Amino acid sequence: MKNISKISALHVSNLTISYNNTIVVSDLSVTIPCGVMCGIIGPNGAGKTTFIKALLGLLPMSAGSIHILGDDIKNIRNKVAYVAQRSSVDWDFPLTVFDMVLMGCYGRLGWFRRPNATHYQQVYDALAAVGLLDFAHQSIGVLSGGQQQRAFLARALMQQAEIYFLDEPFAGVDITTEKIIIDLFKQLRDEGKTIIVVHHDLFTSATYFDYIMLLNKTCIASGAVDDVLTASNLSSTYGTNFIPYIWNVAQKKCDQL
Amino acid sequence: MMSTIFCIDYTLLIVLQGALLLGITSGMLGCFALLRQQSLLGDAISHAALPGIVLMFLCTHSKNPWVLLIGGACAGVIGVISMQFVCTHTTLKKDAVLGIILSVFFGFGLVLMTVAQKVPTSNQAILNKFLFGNVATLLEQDIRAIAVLSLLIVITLFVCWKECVMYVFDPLFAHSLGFKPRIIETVLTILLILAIIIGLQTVGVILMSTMLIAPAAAARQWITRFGSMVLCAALFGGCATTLGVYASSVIDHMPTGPAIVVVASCIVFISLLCAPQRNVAS
Repeated sequence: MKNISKISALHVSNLTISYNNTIVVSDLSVTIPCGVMCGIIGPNGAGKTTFIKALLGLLPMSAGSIHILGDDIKNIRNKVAYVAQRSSVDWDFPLTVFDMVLMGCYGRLGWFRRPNATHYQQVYDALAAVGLLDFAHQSIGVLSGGQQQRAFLARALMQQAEIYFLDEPFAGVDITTEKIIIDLFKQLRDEGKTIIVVHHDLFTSATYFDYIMLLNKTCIASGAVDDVLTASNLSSTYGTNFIPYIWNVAQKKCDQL
Repeated sequence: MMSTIFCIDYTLLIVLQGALLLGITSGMLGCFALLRQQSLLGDAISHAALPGIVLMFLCTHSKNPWVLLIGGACAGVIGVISMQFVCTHTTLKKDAVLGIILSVFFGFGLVLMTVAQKVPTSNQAILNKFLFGNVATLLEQDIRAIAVLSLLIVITLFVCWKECVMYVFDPLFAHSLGFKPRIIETVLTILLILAIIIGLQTVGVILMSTMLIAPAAAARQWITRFGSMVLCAALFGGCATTLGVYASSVIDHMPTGPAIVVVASCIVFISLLCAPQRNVAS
Protein backbone atom coordinates (compact mmCIF):
# COMPACT_ATOMS: atom_id res chain seq x y z
CA MET A 1 0.00 0.00 0.00
CA LYS A 2 1.98 2.90 -1.30
CA ASN A 3 1.10 6.52 -1.80
CA ILE A 4 -1.76 6.65 0.67
CA SER A 5 -2.77 10.26 0.59
CA LYS A 6 -4.82 12.03 3.20
CA ILE A 7 -7.88 12.19 0.98
CA SER A 8 -9.72 8.87 0.96
CA ALA A 9 -10.51 7.28 -2.39
CA LEU A 10 -14.07 6.68 -1.37
CA HIS A 11 -16.07 8.11 1.49
CA VAL A 12 -19.70 7.09 1.80
CA SER A 13 -21.95 8.03 4.67
CA ASN A 14 -25.45 6.81 5.46
CA LEU A 15 -26.18 5.77 1.88
CA THR A 16 -29.63 4.35 1.17
CA ILE A 17 -30.73 3.19 -2.27
CA SER A 18 -34.20 1.92 -3.12
CA TYR A 19 -35.29 0.36 -6.34
CA ASN A 20 -38.97 -0.21 -7.19
CA ASN A 21 -39.90 0.61 -3.57
CA THR A 22 -37.53 -2.04 -2.20
CA ILE A 23 -34.57 -0.94 -0.13
CA VAL A 24 -31.48 -2.49 -1.71
CA VAL A 25 -28.78 -0.74 0.29
CA SER A 26 -29.57 0.81 3.63
CA ASP A 27 -27.65 3.24 5.82
CA LEU A 28 -24.26 2.24 4.40
CA SER A 29 -21.16 4.05 5.58
CA VAL A 30 -17.64 3.16 4.50
CA THR A 31 -14.26 4.75 3.85
CA ILE A 32 -11.69 3.26 1.49
CA PRO A 33 -8.18 4.75 1.40
CA CYS A 34 -6.27 5.58 -1.77
CA GLY A 35 -3.80 3.12 -3.29
CA VAL A 36 -5.48 -0.16 -2.32
CA MET A 37 -6.92 -3.11 -4.17
CA CYS A 38 -10.27 -3.39 -2.47
CA GLY A 39 -12.69 -6.26 -2.89
CA ILE A 40 -16.38 -5.71 -2.22
CA ILE A 41 -17.57 -9.12 -1.06
CA GLY A 42 -21.04 -10.33 -0.24
CA PRO A 43 -23.66 -12.96 -1.11
CA ASN A 44 -25.85 -12.84 -4.21
CA GLY A 45 -28.48 -10.13 -3.97
CA ALA A 46 -26.50 -8.21 -1.34
CA GLY A 47 -26.68 -5.04 -3.47
CA LYS A 48 -23.06 -5.03 -4.70
CA THR A 49 -23.81 -4.00 -8.29
CA THR A 50 -26.42 -1.48 -7.15
CA PHE A 51 -23.92 0.00 -4.69
CA ILE A 52 -21.20 0.42 -7.33
CA LYS A 53 -23.65 1.93 -9.84
CA ALA A 54 -24.82 4.41 -7.22
CA LEU A 55 -21.21 5.37 -6.47
CA LEU A 56 -20.85 6.36 -10.12
CA GLY A 57 -24.08 8.34 -10.14
CA LEU A 58 -25.73 5.85 -12.50
CA LEU A 59 -28.57 5.19 -10.05
CA PRO A 60 -30.35 7.75 -7.88
CA MET A 61 -29.79 7.46 -4.14
CA SER A 62 -32.56 7.94 -1.60
CA ALA A 63 -30.36 9.31 1.17
CA GLY A 64 -26.77 9.80 2.22
CA SER A 65 -23.67 11.24 0.59
CA ILE A 66 -20.88 9.91 -1.61
CA HIS A 67 -17.44 11.47 -2.02
CA ILE A 68 -14.88 10.10 -4.43
CA LEU A 69 -11.39 11.55 -3.96
CA GLY A 70 -13.07 14.05 -1.66
CA ASP A 71 -15.29 15.40 -4.41
CA ASP A 72 -18.69 14.83 -5.99
CA ILE A 73 -18.70 12.28 -8.82
CA LYS A 74 -20.03 14.91 -11.26
CA ASN A 75 -16.80 16.94 -10.94
CA ILE A 76 -14.31 14.11 -11.26
CA ARG A 77 -15.77 11.75 -13.85
CA ASN A 78 -12.49 11.80 -15.78
CA LYS A 79 -10.62 10.41 -12.79
CA VAL A 80 -12.98 7.45 -12.47
CA ALA A 81 -13.19 4.39 -14.71
CA TYR A 82 -16.08 1.94 -14.58
CA VAL A 83 -16.05 -1.59 -15.95
CA ALA A 84 -19.53 -3.10 -15.92
CA GLN A 85 -20.28 -6.84 -16.06
CA ARG A 86 -19.42 -7.95 -19.55
CA SER A 87 -22.92 -9.33 -20.09
CA SER A 88 -24.16 -5.72 -20.02
CA VAL A 89 -23.43 -5.17 -23.73
CA ASP A 90 -24.33 -6.92 -26.98
CA TRP A 91 -21.11 -8.59 -28.19
CA ASP A 92 -22.67 -9.14 -31.60
CA PHE A 93 -22.53 -5.36 -32.15
CA PRO A 94 -20.68 -4.39 -35.36
CA LEU A 95 -17.52 -2.94 -33.80
CA THR A 96 -13.85 -3.87 -33.94
CA VAL A 97 -11.93 -4.37 -30.71
CA PHE A 98 -9.98 -1.20 -31.59
CA ASP A 99 -13.19 0.87 -31.96
CA MET A 100 -14.48 -0.37 -28.64
CA VAL A 101 -11.30 0.33 -26.69
CA LEU A 102 -11.06 3.78 -28.31
CA MET A 103 -14.31 4.70 -26.54
CA GLY A 104 -12.26 4.83 -23.34
CA CYS A 105 -10.88 8.24 -24.30
CA TYR A 106 -14.28 9.78 -25.15
CA GLY A 107 -14.70 11.02 -21.60
CA ARG A 108 -11.43 12.97 -21.78
CA LEU A 109 -12.40 14.34 -25.20
CA GLY A 110 -15.88 15.48 -24.20
CA TRP A 111 -18.66 16.35 -26.63
CA PHE A 112 -17.92 16.59 -30.37
CA ARG A 113 -14.11 16.36 -30.22
CA ARG A 114 -12.60 13.54 -32.26
CA PRO A 115 -9.77 11.21 -31.24
CA ASN A 116 -6.44 11.67 -33.04
CA ALA A 117 -3.25 9.69 -33.69
CA THR A 118 -2.13 10.03 -30.03
CA HIS A 119 -5.30 8.33 -28.88
CA TYR A 120 -4.93 5.60 -31.49
CA GLN A 121 -1.44 4.86 -30.14
CA GLN A 122 -2.87 4.70 -26.60
CA VAL A 123 -5.39 2.11 -27.81
CA TYR A 124 -2.56 -0.10 -29.10
CA ASP A 125 -0.69 0.34 -25.79
CA ALA A 126 -3.80 -0.60 -23.80
CA LEU A 127 -4.42 -3.64 -26.01
CA ALA A 128 -0.80 -4.70 -25.60
CA ALA A 129 -1.14 -4.42 -21.81
CA VAL A 130 -4.01 -6.94 -21.81
CA GLY A 131 -2.49 -9.18 -24.49
CA LEU A 132 -5.09 -8.48 -27.19
CA LEU A 133 -2.95 -6.67 -29.75
CA ASP A 134 -3.52 -9.41 -32.33
CA PHE A 135 -7.28 -8.89 -32.09
CA ALA A 136 -7.19 -5.10 -32.59
CA HIS A 137 -8.85 -5.07 -35.98
CA GLN A 138 -11.12 -8.05 -35.49
CA SER A 139 -14.80 -7.86 -34.68
CA ILE A 140 -15.66 -7.93 -30.96
CA GLY A 141 -17.93 -10.87 -31.82
CA VAL A 142 -14.94 -13.26 -32.11
CA LEU A 143 -13.70 -12.68 -28.52
CA SER A 144 -14.03 -15.38 -25.89
CA GLY A 145 -15.40 -14.55 -22.43
CA GLY A 146 -11.99 -13.87 -20.96
CA GLN A 147 -10.94 -11.80 -23.96
CA GLN A 148 -14.14 -9.76 -23.69
CA GLN A 149 -13.24 -8.98 -20.09
CA ARG A 150 -9.71 -7.95 -21.11
CA ALA A 151 -11.09 -5.74 -23.90
CA PHE A 152 -13.31 -4.05 -21.31
CA LEU A 153 -10.27 -3.59 -19.09
CA ALA A 154 -8.28 -2.09 -21.98
CA ARG A 155 -11.10 0.40 -22.51
CA ALA A 156 -10.89 1.33 -18.82
CA LEU A 157 -7.10 1.76 -19.09
CA MET A 158 -7.74 4.26 -21.91
CA GLN A 159 -9.57 6.43 -19.39
CA GLN A 160 -6.29 7.01 -17.50
CA ALA A 161 -8.28 7.19 -14.30
CA GLU A 162 -7.25 7.44 -10.65
CA ILE A 163 -9.89 5.04 -9.40
CA TYR A 164 -11.11 1.91 -11.18
CA PHE A 165 -14.49 0.40 -10.31
CA LEU A 166 -14.97 -3.09 -11.69
CA ASP A 167 -18.06 -5.29 -11.47
CA GLU A 168 -17.21 -9.02 -11.33
CA PRO A 169 -14.15 -8.94 -13.62
CA PHE A 170 -13.22 -12.51 -12.64
CA ALA A 171 -16.61 -14.08 -13.36
CA GLY A 172 -16.24 -16.90 -15.87
CA VAL A 173 -12.78 -15.98 -17.17
CA ASP A 174 -9.90 -18.30 -18.06
CA ILE A 175 -6.68 -18.61 -16.01
CA THR A 176 -4.63 -16.51 -18.48
CA THR A 177 -7.12 -13.66 -18.19
CA GLU A 178 -7.23 -13.97 -14.40
CA LYS A 179 -3.46 -13.67 -14.19
CA ILE A 180 -3.32 -10.73 -16.62
CA ILE A 181 -6.02 -8.88 -14.67
CA ILE A 182 -4.36 -9.46 -11.29
CA ASP A 183 -0.94 -8.37 -12.60
CA LEU A 184 -2.50 -5.28 -14.11
CA PHE A 185 -4.26 -4.43 -10.84
CA LYS A 186 -0.98 -4.73 -8.94
CA GLN A 187 0.78 -2.54 -11.47
CA LEU A 188 -1.96 0.11 -11.23
CA ARG A 189 -1.90 -0.02 -7.43
CA ASP A 190 1.87 0.42 -7.43
CA GLU A 191 1.34 3.53 -9.56
CA GLY A 192 -0.85 4.85 -6.74
CA LYS A 193 -4.25 4.13 -8.35
CA THR A 194 -7.13 2.68 -6.36
CA ILE A 195 -8.96 -0.43 -7.56
CA ILE A 196 -12.37 -1.30 -6.21
CA VAL A 197 -13.74 -4.64 -7.34
CA VAL A 198 -17.10 -6.29 -6.82
CA HIS A 199 -16.31 -9.95 -6.27
CA HIS A 200 -18.55 -12.89 -5.47
CA ASP A 201 -15.97 -15.52 -4.51
CA LEU A 202 -15.02 -15.30 -0.85
CA PHE A 203 -12.25 -17.87 -1.12
CA THR A 204 -10.13 -16.08 -3.70
CA SER A 205 -10.68 -12.66 -2.12
CA ALA A 206 -7.85 -12.99 0.42
CA THR A 207 -5.32 -13.69 -2.33
CA TYR A 208 -6.58 -11.07 -4.80
CA PHE A 209 -7.08 -8.06 -2.55
CA ASP A 210 -5.31 -6.19 0.23
CA TYR A 211 -8.44 -4.44 1.47
CA ILE A 212 -11.93 -5.91 1.93
CA MET A 213 -15.39 -4.49 2.34
CA LEU A 214 -18.08 -6.97 3.40
CA LEU A 215 -21.46 -5.95 2.03
CA ASN A 216 -24.94 -7.25 2.68
CA LYS A 217 -27.49 -4.44 2.37
CA THR A 218 -25.10 -2.38 4.46
CA CYS A 219 -21.37 -2.36 5.16
CA ILE A 220 -20.70 -5.17 7.66
CA ALA A 221 -16.98 -4.47 7.96
CA SER A 222 -14.14 -2.92 6.03
CA GLY A 223 -10.38 -2.87 6.44
CA ALA A 224 -7.25 -4.95 5.85
CA VAL A 225 -7.93 -8.55 4.85
CA ASP A 226 -6.89 -10.22 8.12
CA ASP A 227 -8.90 -7.81 10.25
CA VAL A 228 -12.08 -8.20 8.24
CA LEU A 229 -12.27 -11.89 7.33
CA THR A 230 -13.21 -13.11 10.80
CA ALA A 231 -15.82 -15.68 11.72
CA SER A 232 -18.17 -13.14 13.29
CA ASN A 233 -17.98 -10.75 10.31
CA LEU A 234 -18.56 -13.56 7.85
CA SER A 235 -21.54 -14.90 9.75
CA SER A 236 -23.06 -11.39 9.83
CA THR A 237 -22.57 -11.18 6.06
CA TYR A 238 -23.52 -14.65 4.94
CA GLY A 239 -25.69 -15.83 7.86
CA THR A 240 -24.78 -18.17 10.71
CA ASN A 241 -25.52 -21.33 8.73
CA PHE A 242 -22.80 -20.38 6.37
CA ILE A 243 -19.89 -20.81 8.75
CA PRO A 244 -19.81 -24.64 8.87
CA TYR A 245 -20.20 -24.60 5.10
CA ILE A 246 -17.24 -22.26 4.66
CA TRP A 247 -15.24 -24.40 6.98
CA ASN A 248 -16.01 -27.52 4.96
CA VAL A 249 -15.14 -25.94 1.65
CA ALA A 250 -11.98 -24.40 3.06
CA GLN A 251 -10.87 -27.75 4.40
CA LYS A 252 -11.58 -29.46 1.12
CA LYS A 253 -9.46 -26.84 -0.59
CA CYS A 254 -6.66 -27.47 1.91
CA ASP A 255 -6.93 -31.21 1.33
CA GLN A 256 -6.65 -30.68 -2.40
CA LEU A 257 -3.49 -28.67 -1.94
CA MET B 1 -44.05 14.50 -78.61
CA MET B 2 -40.51 15.22 -77.52
CA SER B 3 -41.72 17.65 -74.90
CA THR B 4 -44.09 15.09 -73.31
CA ILE B 5 -41.29 12.57 -72.97
CA PHE B 6 -39.05 15.25 -71.55
CA CYS B 7 -41.82 16.22 -69.15
CA ILE B 8 -42.26 12.66 -67.88
CA ASP B 9 -38.55 12.20 -67.46
CA TYR B 10 -38.26 15.48 -65.60
CA THR B 11 -41.04 14.56 -63.15
CA LEU B 12 -39.55 11.14 -62.66
CA LEU B 13 -36.15 12.67 -62.02
CA ILE B 14 -37.59 14.93 -59.33
CA VAL B 15 -39.41 12.05 -57.71
CA LEU B 16 -36.35 9.80 -57.83
CA GLN B 17 -34.28 12.45 -56.05
CA GLY B 18 -36.79 12.55 -53.21
CA ALA B 19 -36.92 8.79 -53.01
CA LEU B 20 -33.15 8.49 -52.99
CA LEU B 21 -32.83 10.96 -50.10
CA LEU B 22 -35.52 9.08 -48.16
CA GLY B 23 -33.75 5.77 -48.71
CA ILE B 24 -30.41 7.17 -47.55
CA THR B 25 -31.65 8.86 -44.38
CA SER B 26 -33.97 6.10 -43.25
CA GLY B 27 -31.30 3.48 -43.97
CA MET B 28 -28.79 5.36 -41.81
CA LEU B 29 -31.15 5.94 -38.88
CA GLY B 30 -32.49 2.42 -39.17
CA CYS B 31 -29.05 1.12 -38.14
CA PHE B 32 -29.28 2.99 -34.84
CA ALA B 33 -32.85 1.79 -34.24
CA LEU B 34 -31.98 -1.81 -35.16
CA LEU B 35 -28.96 -2.00 -32.85
CA ARG B 36 -30.82 -0.33 -29.99
CA GLN B 37 -33.35 -3.15 -30.47
CA GLN B 38 -35.99 -0.52 -31.10
CA SER B 39 -36.94 -1.39 -34.66
CA LEU B 40 -40.63 -1.10 -33.86
CA LEU B 41 -40.27 2.39 -32.39
CA GLY B 42 -40.25 3.77 -35.94
CA ASP B 43 -43.39 1.81 -36.72
CA ALA B 44 -45.15 3.23 -33.68
CA ILE B 45 -44.04 6.80 -34.46
CA SER B 46 -45.16 6.64 -38.09
CA HIS B 47 -48.57 5.25 -37.16
CA ALA B 48 -48.85 7.83 -34.39
CA ALA B 49 -48.29 10.59 -36.97
CA LEU B 50 -51.60 9.88 -38.75
CA PRO B 51 -54.00 11.56 -36.27
CA GLY B 52 -51.67 14.61 -36.21
CA ILE B 53 -51.81 14.89 -39.99
CA VAL B 54 -55.60 14.60 -40.12
CA LEU B 55 -56.13 16.98 -37.19
CA MET B 56 -53.92 19.51 -38.93
CA PHE B 57 -56.08 19.10 -42.04
CA LEU B 58 -59.27 19.57 -40.06
CA CYS B 59 -57.86 22.76 -38.55
CA THR B 60 -56.35 24.30 -41.69
CA HIS B 61 -58.10 22.56 -44.66
CA SER B 62 -54.69 22.93 -46.27
CA LYS B 63 -53.50 20.72 -49.08
CA ASN B 64 -49.87 21.64 -48.52
CA PRO B 65 -48.34 18.34 -47.30
CA TRP B 66 -45.71 20.10 -45.15
CA VAL B 67 -48.34 21.94 -43.13
CA LEU B 68 -49.99 18.60 -42.44
CA LEU B 69 -46.64 16.93 -41.67
CA ILE B 70 -45.96 19.48 -38.93
CA GLY B 71 -49.08 18.08 -37.28
CA GLY B 72 -47.72 14.57 -37.94
CA ALA B 73 -44.40 15.40 -36.30
CA CYS B 74 -46.15 16.81 -33.22
CA ALA B 75 -48.30 13.68 -32.95
CA GLY B 76 -45.12 11.56 -33.31
CA VAL B 77 -43.52 13.43 -30.42
CA ILE B 78 -46.67 13.01 -28.33
CA GLY B 79 -46.61 9.30 -29.21
CA VAL B 80 -43.01 8.92 -27.98
CA ILE B 81 -43.68 10.87 -24.79
CA SER B 82 -46.79 8.82 -24.00
CA MET B 83 -44.83 5.62 -24.63
CA GLN B 84 -42.18 6.71 -22.12
CA PHE B 85 -44.88 7.77 -19.66
CA VAL B 86 -46.69 4.43 -19.85
CA CYS B 87 -43.39 2.53 -19.63
CA THR B 88 -42.23 4.29 -16.46
CA HIS B 89 -45.59 4.45 -14.69
CA THR B 90 -46.92 0.96 -15.32
CA THR B 91 -45.49 -2.55 -15.19
CA LEU B 92 -46.29 -3.13 -18.88
CA LYS B 93 -43.43 -4.41 -21.02
CA LYS B 94 -42.07 -2.26 -23.83
CA ASP B 95 -43.45 -4.35 -26.70
CA ALA B 96 -46.95 -4.15 -25.22
CA VAL B 97 -46.65 -0.38 -24.84
CA LEU B 98 -45.45 -0.02 -28.46
CA GLY B 99 -48.40 -2.12 -29.65
CA ILE B 100 -50.90 -0.11 -27.63
CA ILE B 101 -49.61 3.31 -28.71
CA LEU B 102 -49.39 2.23 -32.35
CA SER B 103 -52.94 0.93 -32.57
CA VAL B 104 -54.57 3.60 -30.39
CA PHE B 105 -53.05 6.47 -32.41
CA PHE B 106 -53.66 4.78 -35.75
CA GLY B 107 -57.26 3.90 -34.92
CA PHE B 108 -57.86 7.45 -33.75
CA GLY B 109 -56.34 8.71 -37.01
CA LEU B 110 -58.67 6.53 -39.11
CA VAL B 111 -61.69 7.79 -37.18
CA LEU B 112 -60.58 11.37 -37.81
CA MET B 113 -60.18 10.55 -41.50
CA THR B 114 -63.83 9.58 -41.69
CA VAL B 115 -64.68 12.92 -40.13
CA ALA B 116 -62.42 14.66 -42.64
CA GLN B 117 -64.28 13.07 -45.57
CA LYS B 118 -67.39 15.06 -44.58
CA VAL B 119 -65.58 18.42 -44.65
CA PRO B 120 -67.02 20.52 -47.51
CA THR B 121 -63.79 20.88 -49.50
CA SER B 122 -62.10 18.76 -52.15
CA ASN B 123 -58.69 18.83 -50.50
CA GLN B 124 -59.10 15.66 -48.41
CA ALA B 125 -57.83 13.49 -51.28
CA ILE B 126 -54.35 14.41 -50.06
CA LEU B 127 -54.94 12.44 -46.83
CA ASN B 128 -55.14 9.13 -48.67
CA LYS B 129 -51.62 9.46 -49.97
CA PHE B 130 -50.28 9.43 -46.42
CA LEU B 131 -51.66 5.93 -45.90
CA PHE B 132 -49.75 4.09 -48.64
CA GLY B 133 -47.63 6.88 -50.06
CA ASN B 134 -47.93 8.46 -53.47
CA VAL B 135 -44.73 9.71 -54.88
CA ALA B 136 -46.28 11.05 -58.07
CA THR B 137 -47.53 14.14 -56.28
CA LEU B 138 -44.06 15.21 -55.08
CA LEU B 139 -43.17 18.66 -56.41
CA GLU B 140 -39.87 20.44 -56.76
CA GLN B 141 -40.42 22.41 -53.54
CA ASP B 142 -41.13 19.15 -51.71
CA ILE B 143 -37.77 17.81 -52.86
CA ARG B 144 -36.10 20.96 -51.58
CA ALA B 145 -37.71 20.49 -48.16
CA ILE B 146 -36.72 16.81 -48.14
CA ALA B 147 -33.15 17.75 -49.08
CA VAL B 148 -32.92 20.27 -46.22
CA LEU B 149 -34.24 17.75 -43.68
CA SER B 150 -31.93 15.01 -44.99
CA LEU B 151 -28.94 17.31 -44.79
CA LEU B 152 -29.90 18.22 -41.23
CA ILE B 153 -30.06 14.52 -40.29
CA VAL B 154 -26.73 13.65 -41.93
CA ILE B 155 -24.91 16.65 -40.41
CA THR B 156 -26.27 15.94 -36.92
CA LEU B 157 -25.24 12.29 -37.17
CA PHE B 158 -21.78 13.32 -38.37
CA VAL B 159 -21.29 15.84 -35.56
CA CYS B 160 -22.55 13.55 -32.76
CA TRP B 161 -21.18 10.37 -34.34
CA LYS B 162 -18.91 9.17 -31.53
CA GLU B 163 -21.47 9.98 -28.83
CA CYS B 164 -24.30 8.22 -30.68
CA VAL B 165 -22.32 5.06 -31.49
CA MET B 166 -21.05 4.81 -27.91
CA TYR B 167 -24.57 5.32 -26.53
CA VAL B 168 -26.09 2.69 -28.81
CA PHE B 169 -23.38 0.15 -27.94
CA ASP B 170 -23.08 0.77 -24.21
CA PRO B 171 -25.41 3.39 -22.68
CA LEU B 172 -24.23 2.62 -19.14
CA PHE B 173 -20.61 3.31 -20.10
CA ALA B 174 -21.58 6.54 -21.90
CA HIS B 175 -23.38 7.61 -18.72
CA SER B 176 -20.36 6.74 -16.57
CA LEU B 177 -18.22 9.04 -18.75
CA GLY B 178 -20.64 11.88 -18.08
CA PHE B 179 -22.58 11.86 -21.38
CA LYS B 180 -26.21 12.26 -20.35
CA PRO B 181 -28.09 9.31 -21.92
CA ARG B 182 -31.28 11.35 -22.11
CA ILE B 183 -29.67 13.97 -24.38
CA ILE B 184 -28.32 11.42 -26.88
CA GLU B 185 -31.55 9.44 -26.74
CA THR B 186 -33.57 12.60 -27.49
CA VAL B 187 -31.31 13.55 -30.41
CA LEU B 188 -31.64 10.08 -31.94
CA THR B 189 -35.40 10.07 -31.48
CA ILE B 190 -35.80 13.53 -33.05
CA LEU B 191 -33.73 12.40 -36.04
CA LEU B 192 -35.90 9.29 -36.32
CA ILE B 193 -39.05 11.42 -36.33
CA LEU B 194 -37.55 13.68 -39.04
CA ALA B 195 -36.69 10.66 -41.20
CA ILE B 196 -40.24 9.38 -40.80
CA ILE B 197 -41.64 12.79 -41.76
CA ILE B 198 -39.59 12.64 -44.96
CA GLY B 199 -40.92 9.18 -45.71
CA LEU B 200 -44.63 9.62 -45.01
CA GLN B 201 -45.49 11.16 -48.41
CA THR B 202 -43.49 8.58 -50.31
CA VAL B 203 -44.03 5.33 -48.42
CA GLY B 204 -46.99 6.11 -46.16
CA VAL B 205 -47.59 5.57 -42.45
CA ILE B 206 -48.35 1.86 -42.68
CA LEU B 207 -45.17 0.70 -44.41
CA MET B 208 -42.71 3.37 -43.23
CA SER B 209 -41.12 1.05 -40.66
CA THR B 210 -39.84 -1.20 -43.46
CA MET B 211 -37.68 1.67 -44.69
CA LEU B 212 -36.06 1.84 -41.26
CA ILE B 213 -35.68 -1.88 -40.60
CA ALA B 214 -35.04 -3.54 -43.98
CA PRO B 215 -31.90 -1.68 -45.20
CA ALA B 216 -30.30 -1.84 -41.74
CA ALA B 217 -31.08 -5.54 -41.28
CA ALA B 218 -29.69 -6.33 -44.74
CA ALA B 219 -26.55 -4.24 -44.15
CA ARG B 220 -25.88 -5.96 -40.80
CA GLN B 221 -25.61 -9.26 -42.69
CA TRP B 222 -22.65 -8.09 -44.74
CA ILE B 223 -20.80 -5.61 -42.53
CA THR B 224 -18.94 -5.89 -39.21
CA ARG B 225 -18.11 -2.22 -38.56
CA PHE B 226 -20.75 0.25 -37.56
CA GLY B 227 -19.65 3.12 -39.84
CA SER B 228 -19.57 0.88 -42.89
CA MET B 229 -22.89 -0.65 -41.88
CA VAL B 230 -24.52 2.80 -41.86
CA LEU B 231 -23.13 3.56 -45.34
CA CYS B 232 -24.20 0.16 -46.63
CA ALA B 233 -27.72 0.62 -45.20
CA ALA B 234 -27.88 4.04 -46.89
CA LEU B 235 -26.92 2.37 -50.18
CA PHE B 236 -29.50 -0.41 -49.78
CA GLY B 237 -32.17 2.12 -48.76
CA GLY B 238 -31.36 4.31 -51.76
CA CYS B 239 -31.55 1.31 -54.13
CA ALA B 240 -34.85 0.11 -52.68
CA THR B 241 -36.55 3.51 -52.90
CA THR B 242 -35.31 4.42 -56.40
CA LEU B 243 -36.16 1.01 -57.86
CA GLY B 244 -39.53 0.99 -56.08
CA VAL B 245 -40.39 4.50 -57.25
CA TYR B 246 -39.36 3.64 -60.79
CA ALA B 247 -41.56 0.52 -60.72
CA SER B 248 -44.54 2.45 -59.39
CA SER B 249 -44.14 5.13 -62.07
CA VAL B 250 -44.04 2.72 -65.00
CA ILE B 251 -46.72 0.29 -63.75
CA ASP B 252 -50.24 1.77 -63.69
CA HIS B 253 -51.98 2.13 -60.32
CA MET B 254 -48.99 0.72 -58.44
CA PRO B 255 -48.82 2.55 -55.07
CA THR B 256 -45.25 3.65 -54.27
CA GLY B 257 -44.99 2.40 -50.68
CA PRO B 258 -45.75 -1.25 -51.41
CA ALA B 259 -43.47 -1.21 -54.48
CA ILE B 260 -40.56 0.08 -52.37
CA VAL B 261 -41.29 -2.47 -49.65
CA VAL B 262 -41.19 -5.34 -52.14
CA VAL B 263 -37.78 -4.24 -53.44
CA ALA B 264 -36.46 -3.74 -49.88
CA SER B 265 -37.70 -7.18 -48.86
CA CYS B 266 -35.89 -8.73 -51.83
CA ILE B 267 -32.64 -7.10 -50.65
CA VAL B 268 -33.18 -8.46 -47.12
CA PHE B 269 -34.04 -11.90 -48.46
CA ILE B 270 -30.90 -12.08 -50.60
CA SER B 271 -28.77 -10.81 -47.69
CA LEU B 272 -30.16 -13.41 -45.31
CA LEU B 273 -29.43 -16.16 -47.81
CA CYS B 274 -26.11 -15.09 -49.28
CA ALA B 275 -24.16 -12.99 -46.77
CA PRO B 276 -20.90 -14.69 -45.80
CA GLN B 277 -20.59 -15.75 -42.12
CA ARG B 278 -24.12 -14.74 -41.16
CA ASN B 279 -26.27 -16.48 -43.80
CA VAL B 280 -29.12 -18.81 -42.91
CA ALA B 281 -27.01 -21.92 -43.45
CA SER B 282 -24.19 -20.94 -41.07
